[in-house]
Parts: sequence; structure tokens; C-alpha cells
Amino acid sequence: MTAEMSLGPSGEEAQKFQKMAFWFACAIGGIGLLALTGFILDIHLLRSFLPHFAPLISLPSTVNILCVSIAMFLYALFDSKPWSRRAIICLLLVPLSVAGYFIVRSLWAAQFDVISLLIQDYGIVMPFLSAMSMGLGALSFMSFILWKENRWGTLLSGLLAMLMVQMNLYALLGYLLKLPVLYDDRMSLPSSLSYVLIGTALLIMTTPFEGFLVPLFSKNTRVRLLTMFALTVGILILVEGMTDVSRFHHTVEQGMMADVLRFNYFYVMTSFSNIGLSILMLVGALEAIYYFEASTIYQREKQVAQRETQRAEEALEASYRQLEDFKKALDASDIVAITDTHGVITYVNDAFCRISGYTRDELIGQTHRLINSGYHPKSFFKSMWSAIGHGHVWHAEIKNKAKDGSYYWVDTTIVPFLRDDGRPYQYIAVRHDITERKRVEEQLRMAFDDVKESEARFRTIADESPMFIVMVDLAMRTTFLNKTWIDFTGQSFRESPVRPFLAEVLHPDDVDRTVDMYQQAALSPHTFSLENRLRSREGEYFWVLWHGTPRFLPNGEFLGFMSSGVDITVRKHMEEALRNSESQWRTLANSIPQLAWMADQTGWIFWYNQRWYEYTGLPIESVEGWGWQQAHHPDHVDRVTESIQYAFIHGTPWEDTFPLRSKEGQWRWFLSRALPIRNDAGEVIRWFGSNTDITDELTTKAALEQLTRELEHRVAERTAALEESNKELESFSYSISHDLRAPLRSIDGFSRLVLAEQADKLDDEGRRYLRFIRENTQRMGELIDDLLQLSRVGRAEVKQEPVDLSQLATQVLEELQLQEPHRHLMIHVQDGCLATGDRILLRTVLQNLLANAWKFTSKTEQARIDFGCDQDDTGKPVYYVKDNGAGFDPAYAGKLFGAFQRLHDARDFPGTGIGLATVKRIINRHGGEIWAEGQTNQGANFYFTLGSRKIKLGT
Amino acid sequence: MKNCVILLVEDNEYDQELTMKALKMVGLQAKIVVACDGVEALDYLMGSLETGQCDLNEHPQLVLLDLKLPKLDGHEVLKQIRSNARTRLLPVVVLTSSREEEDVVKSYANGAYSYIRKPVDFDDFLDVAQKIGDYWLKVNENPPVG
Repeated sequence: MTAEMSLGPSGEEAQKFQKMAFWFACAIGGIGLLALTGFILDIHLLRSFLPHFAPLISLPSTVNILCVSIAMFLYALFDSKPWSRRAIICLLLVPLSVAGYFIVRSLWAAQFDVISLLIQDYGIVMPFLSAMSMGLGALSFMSFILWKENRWGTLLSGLLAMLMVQMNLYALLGYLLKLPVLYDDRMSLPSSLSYVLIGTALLIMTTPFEGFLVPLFSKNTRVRLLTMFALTVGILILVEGMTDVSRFHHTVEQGMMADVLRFNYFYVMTSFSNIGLSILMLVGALEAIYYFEASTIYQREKQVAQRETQRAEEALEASYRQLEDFKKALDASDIVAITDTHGVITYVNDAFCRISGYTRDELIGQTHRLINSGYHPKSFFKSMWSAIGHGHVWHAEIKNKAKDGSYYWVDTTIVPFLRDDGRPYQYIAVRHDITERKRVEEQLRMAFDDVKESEARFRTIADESPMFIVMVDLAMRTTFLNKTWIDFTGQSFRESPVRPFLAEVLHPDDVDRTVDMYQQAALSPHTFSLENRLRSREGEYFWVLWHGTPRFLPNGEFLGFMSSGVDITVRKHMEEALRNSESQWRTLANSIPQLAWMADQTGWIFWYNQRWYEYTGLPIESVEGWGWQQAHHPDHVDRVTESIQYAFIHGTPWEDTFPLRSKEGQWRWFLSRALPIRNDAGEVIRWFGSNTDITDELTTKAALEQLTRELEHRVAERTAALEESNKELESFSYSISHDLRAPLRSIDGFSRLVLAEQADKLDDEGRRYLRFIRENTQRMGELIDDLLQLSRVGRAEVKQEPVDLSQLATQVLEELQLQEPHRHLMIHVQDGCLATGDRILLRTVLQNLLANAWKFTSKTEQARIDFGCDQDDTGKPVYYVKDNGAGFDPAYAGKLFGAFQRLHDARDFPGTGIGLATVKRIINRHGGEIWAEGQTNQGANFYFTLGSRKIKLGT
Repeated sequence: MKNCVILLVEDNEYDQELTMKALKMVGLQAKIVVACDGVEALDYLMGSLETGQCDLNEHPQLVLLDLKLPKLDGHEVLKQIRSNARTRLLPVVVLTSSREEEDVVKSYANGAYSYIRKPVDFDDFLDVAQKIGDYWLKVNENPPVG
């Protein structure tokens, strides 16, 4: 160990001084820049720093200060560079020459100063004191740069800097005490501040290790005393100087001085006060003595320090050698490793390398993690670090891993090496190999544990188990029964052959089967399972599911079986009940034409009926759960999912209509419903859903709607057309009634007149023909009238009013009787046949029907006409007109109601053939029906109904 | 019965003749004035009155009015007759082939005294003519003329 013993500041501190030089340069440069700004902007305050008082800084001073500050920057930042040295010297030449010029100018002032004649401005002239200080500063800096390595060079530099500082400190004092003589009457505050700073910086730069600053770093009492003495002398001189200066003031006030001389500091100092000179000389002498003395002290202290260092090194070497011996001894006997405080290995011995399998190079720089076996928990190493970190010795057995992957055990002792403050700076680990001992221990423990534990564990597990456990050996004897079994059956354990043992506890039907199963399994040992009924201690049988497992020795020898049984009685019952109900149910569900499915309470569909698979063609795996969505139409699936999820969440019945894709890719519409199936507690346990194909219904419905729309449209069209034709018909019938009859009337009239007036000119044949003409004219008149009536019926409005048909019939018959008074008929009219309809139209109906009856009974003896009403099956009134007249051939019954249809010879029964057509039309317009029954010569019965409205029959 | 004037308003010349013949045949002694259309009828009635050349003897006691007429139909003629103060009471018998309910109602509404449908059978017509003559010219007390 080699210690650098130094009295002065160390290398680091020297750098600190250089840094300080930088900050000084900053301060000086700052002042210089402020002053320069003052010049440029003409701000006096920036040149004086003190308003209304101090003189202003001159331009040369400012330039000089800036030059020095730049030089100092260069020194602080680029000290080592040769170019910076050259630049510094160049920069320093500026203030040196300027200051030199102004010093010379001050000393020989007015006599031959040409420049001062030209430049009268004070801002250009540098005061003597300022020039002096600048000169000293520049010289000091320059000598420092040029002879830095030379002791005398730095001494000169220091001295000059010291002088500079002192002069300017006086100047600052002058500002403070308002004594212009101390600052040469004209030197500005910025200048003197800068000079103090420059001087101080130079002092620090030049003599950091020795000389004037030694007292600051020395602990030596003599040096301190000397410093105090120097300071006292300095202050005494200052006081003396001040009294002297005040005297000088007095002199000035008396006007004894020429103006020009007032500004010559040096001159004043030397001529009017020899004190000034003596001060300078004294200070110089004192400083020289002081420096010399301090330097001597420094040298002596340095020698002492060197001697002490040497002694310490010798002692250290001795102890180091001793340590080496120890280490050698340790290395020989044990495994040794040294680590730093972070656990990084700094030393390992050969034994370490041997046991770990790593080379020294592989180990140094690594931590012990390299050989960590992973066997010990993290807390183990944590406690280790805690102990040794606090300076305690730690001891443990550690399992480590060698390079080849093998493990080794070491008995380890770790000793922390402590610093003076009690904190460890390195650890030494001493270990010896205990792998073999550990291995034996481990094997012993494992063997012991195996035997003991497996036995106990088996018993505990077997007895604690809710299952029945039975062991049967090779000879088919029970060798073990667990507690569960014993508790259940109430039997105690005894070794016995299987059959009698089983006969006691099993249902008689199950004994043979069980024994057979054991014997079968034993032939070629394999696992088996069976269900049988075990009798409980209460004598009840319970279903038990058994699993038998063959037991083998490690060598493969078969030992017997271990059987475990579970009570499955409840499951058995449930299964049976479920099987019964479910099989019925599934049969039903598969037979219905609908698609059906079941879901659990969450809506997970776990079953579909056969129809579902047939229709969708999707395999079961893909539609389970929510897979049904793939059969849905993309336009509907979201809506359906939402609605069914709502139902699943709220437990409400669900209904929806949507298309499902068949396996042929066809979309058919299904009405779907789902109902929750709840348990006794009211909780939903299942959902049952069905989908009913309603495509055909929908199609039919749509077609019907379409058809209805078309029909309505057609009806509307027809109605419009009908209204149009009705109007035409109206005008037509009006014309007929008038225009067709007029010619007829003329034909008849004139025929009659011929017969009446010209009869004598005609023979019988002519008269007969004229009669024929008249007869036909009559018929045509009737025809026209009937046709008009028929057309009127078609377009007339049908009123709905209560009509007494019995009364109407009576009236009509009376009229007929009046027309043919000679006829005698049996007439019967039932009273109180009421109807709702159009009175006039219904009268026309009765008129025609009764007139027909009247007409067709004309050749019947004891003719009879009946009118009345009856009720059909639905209670609707059926009115009738019956006669016993000519009747009609039933074969032509269908033609009865056609216009111009006549079933009889007009000669026998005259008529137009329009009457019944008119009747039918009126009945139809009332929403009723008319039909006829009859036989030739056996009379005719006409029946009619009116609308669907029920008419209450009168009494 | 003498000096009786009947105004027959009839466009069909055959009907005119038959009607006149029938009236004659039933022994009606009245003078029959024929108007072939509504305008002519009104001209006759109004003109004779308004011009002052009114021969009271020439003034008709009865008007036999057909409905279907050229120019101005029977209903309109009837309306004019009834709206004129002088003729408003004049007995007007509608004698027409029409059997339309509408015509019947309208005729009475316009102030027809009677509505008779001309039968096709001439014998029936003679019967009707007999009854008209007997009733309107003999039995009935007609309103005073003018």
C-alpha cells in the first residue's frame, strides 16, 4: 500500500481551484460586460456602480478587464492546451501595454503627452492606480503562465497578485470611507472590484499548495501566530496611513496642490507622504518574510508526513505477510473463498475449484449463485446476508451444485472482515465437504419415512375415507375392512373367506355374482367394477358401486385386491325414475312434428329432438349450447338471441317467430316457445322449447290477404261499373215504359177502330187476324211492364223495415179474388209472419208467388193456397207459399227462377216468365234464399228466407 | 157540357188521334185543342190570357198532359201552369204511358189533379176516356175560369 501523504490540497482540490478560477472569470467578465454596456448605451450607473458619487470606469480599463477575464476563462477551461497558453499570453499583452502606457503617461503627465492633448475625455484616460493594478495583475498572470512549474515564477506571480489585491482593498476602503486619495480620486468602483477579484483569483491559481494560502490549510500553531501578526501589522499600517491621508486631505483643501498633481497617486504618495512609500516597502518586506516562513513550515511538515507514511507501510507489510501465512494454512486444509460486500467472489483456493469443478477464472467475478443448488429456500440466504451484513459470523450446512450438475454438501463458516466503523468490507467463507455424510443421512431418513408413513398413511386414509374399503388376499380371504365399512354394516373385522363373509352382508341375489367377479378377476389380475346391495346395520339394503384393483408386490407378484365402494342408492333410484320418465318423454318428444329442445338454467341447450337434427341437418356437437344460432337467419339472430336471453335471465316464458334454415338451405318460419321447468323450490332447472313450422300458414295467410285485396279491388271496380250501368238502365227503362208502349197502344187502338168501324169490309178471317194482333199487343205490353219491374228490383234500394207478410198476403189474395170473383179456393194464411225488409219489394214477391198459385190452380178442383212460415234447423224463419195446382217437373226445378223460363204452355197458363226471376232477385237482394218443391199435377211449394237475421215469430 | 174546351198536350200524332177518337166515341161534346209540345201548350194557355183576346169560351176547362214532350216536358209545363196566377187552379190530368213512381210523385208534387196511365188495350182506353169525361166535365165542380 502506497499512501500519498500531502500537506496541501490534493489533486481533486487543485481542480476545485481551477473551477473557482472559472467562476472568478465569470464575475470579472460580468463586470467588464456591464461597463461595456454602460459605454454603449451611455448609462453612467453601469460604469460607476455607485450613483452620484464614484468616478466612471474608463474605456481602457474596461477593455483590459475583459481581456483578463477571457484569459482566465481560457485557463480555467483549456489549461493543458498549448494553444490556450499562447492565446492567454497574447490576450495579456493588451492590458500590459495599455497599463504601461498610462503609467508612463501619469508619471510624466503634462510635459509631453500628445495623446492627452488629443483625448481630453476622462472615459479614455486610465487613472494611475488603475493602470498600476492592471499592470501588476497582467504581469502576475503572465509569469504564472510562463513559469508555472518554476517555484520562483509562481512566487513572483503570487507577490504581484498580493500587491494588486492590497492596493485595491485600500481603494475599496476609500469608497467606504469616502477618501478619494485611496482610490486615486478617479479610479472607479467596477475597476477596483475587478482588480480585487483578478488578484484573488491569481493568488488561488498560483499558490494553491504553498505560499500565501498555506495558513488557510495549515494546522501548525506557528503559522497561525504568524498570520495573526501579519494581519495586525497590516491594520496598524492602515490606521497610520489613514491619519496621514487625512492630513493630506487637509493640505489639498488649502489649495496647495496643482490640479494636475492631484490625480497623480504615486506622486502624491511619494512627495507628500513618505508614509505611503514606507507602507509599500514594509508590506513588501513583511510579505516576503511571511512567505518564506510559511514555505519553510510547509517543507518541514511534508517531511514528517513522509516519514509517518513509511512507518505505516512497513507495519502493514508485516501484517499482510502474516495474513498470507494464515491463508496458506487455510487453503491447505479447507475450501476457501473471499467475496466483496456484494457477494462477488474475489478469491478462491484450489480446494474450491476442485469441489465445484470450475476453474478459478470462471469463479472470480461471479457470485455464489453460480453454485446454488436451489435446495435452500430464499429465506435461508436472506438470514445469512442479514447475519454477515451485521458483522456476525455465520455457520450452516449448504448444498451446492458443481459445474457437472452434481450436488455436494459443505459445512460453511462465513467470517465478515470489518472496517473501523464496524461495517464489513469483505467476507471469507471457509467450508469443508460433508457430502458423503449427508447422503447416508438422507437415505436412512427416506427409508425410515417410507415404511412408517405408508403404513400409517394408508390406515388413516382408509379409515377417514367416506368409501368402503375392503382388501382381499390371494386366497380370497378378507384381510382389511375400513372403519366406514364396519360402521355401516355393524360387523366387526375378522379374517374370513370371501363367500361366507359376503353372504352375511350382501343381498342374497348379489352374493354369487360378486364372488364370481372376484374369482374371474383373480385369474388374470385386472381392475373390475360391479354394483351390489350392501346391508346396513339396520338391515336395509343400499346400492354400492365397487371398484376392485389388483395389488402387486414390486417384483410383480399378485397379492389380491383392494376394493373401494361408494353408496349409490340415491343415484340408482333417481336414475331409474329418470330413465322411466325420460324415456317416455323422449319418445314423445321425438314423435311430435315440432322441433323440440331442452336447455339448462343458463340457457345452454343440451338436447334436441330427432326432428331438429332432421330439419337442420346440423350435427349435435355443433348445435350444443348456443350453436343453434348457426341455423338462424342473420337478419333475425340478434333479435332472437336478445329475446331468449331476456327469458333465460328473468325466467319468463318465451315466444318468438323467426326463420330457420333447413339442411336443404331453405328458410322456413317457426313459431317458437320456451317454458321454464322449475324444481320444488321454484328455481328454474331446465327450459323446454319447441319450434312449430308455420310457413304454410303464413303463406296461406299472405295469399289470402293478397286475394282479399284483389277481390276488394275487383268489387270496387265492379261497383263502379254497376253504378254506371244502373244509370244507363234507369234512363233505358224510362224510355221503354214510355216509348215502347206508345206504338203498342197505337197498334191496338187502330186495330180496334178497324174492327169497330170497318168490320163490314172484312171477312171473318180478317177479323180473326186483327184480334190476334190485339192479343199480341196485350202480351207485349205485359212483357214490357214485367221487364221494367225486374230491372227496378235490381237497382232499387232495399229498405229494412218491419213487414207483416201475413197481412200483405191477405191483401194480395183479396185483390186476386177481386179480379176473378168466380173462383173459389181454399185459402189459408198463417197469422203473424213477420219479416224485416222492403215492404214494396216483399209485396211484389207475394204478388208473384200468390198470383202463380192462383193461376196454376185454375184447372184444379178444390184448389188450395197456403201461406205461412216455419223455422229451419238454425231457427231461421222459412216462409212458404203452397198450392195444389199444376205443379212442375222436378227435373226443371233449376230453371224455375230464370227469366223468360216457362214450364207450361202459355195457352194453359199465360205469363211472361219473368215473375219468378223477379222474385228470386228480390229475395237475393234481401240476402235470403228461395227454392221450390213440386211434382207435375201435384202442386208446387215455394219456400224463401230473408237474410240471416232472426225474426221473432209473432203469436 | 157545351162549349167545353179540353187542351190535349200530346206529341205523338197517333196518340192525338186515338185520344180524340176515344173521347168522341164515349160521347164527349167538348172542343179539343191539341198542343204538340210543351211550348205550344203554354203559348196557347198564356197567350190567350195575356193578349186579352180571351174568349172565355175558348178557355180550356181541362188539360190532358203527356209527360214526355219535345222542347218543354210535361213536368215543366205543369210547373208553369201552377206558377201563373190565372192558370194556377186549372185542372190538369196527367195522361202518360209512364208508370215510374218518380213521375207519379213529381206530377202530384207539381200540382197535377190526377195521374192516369194510358192503357195499351184500346177498350181499356175507351173506359178511361169515359171516366175522365164523366168525372172532370160532369161530376167534378171545376174552379172558375180566370
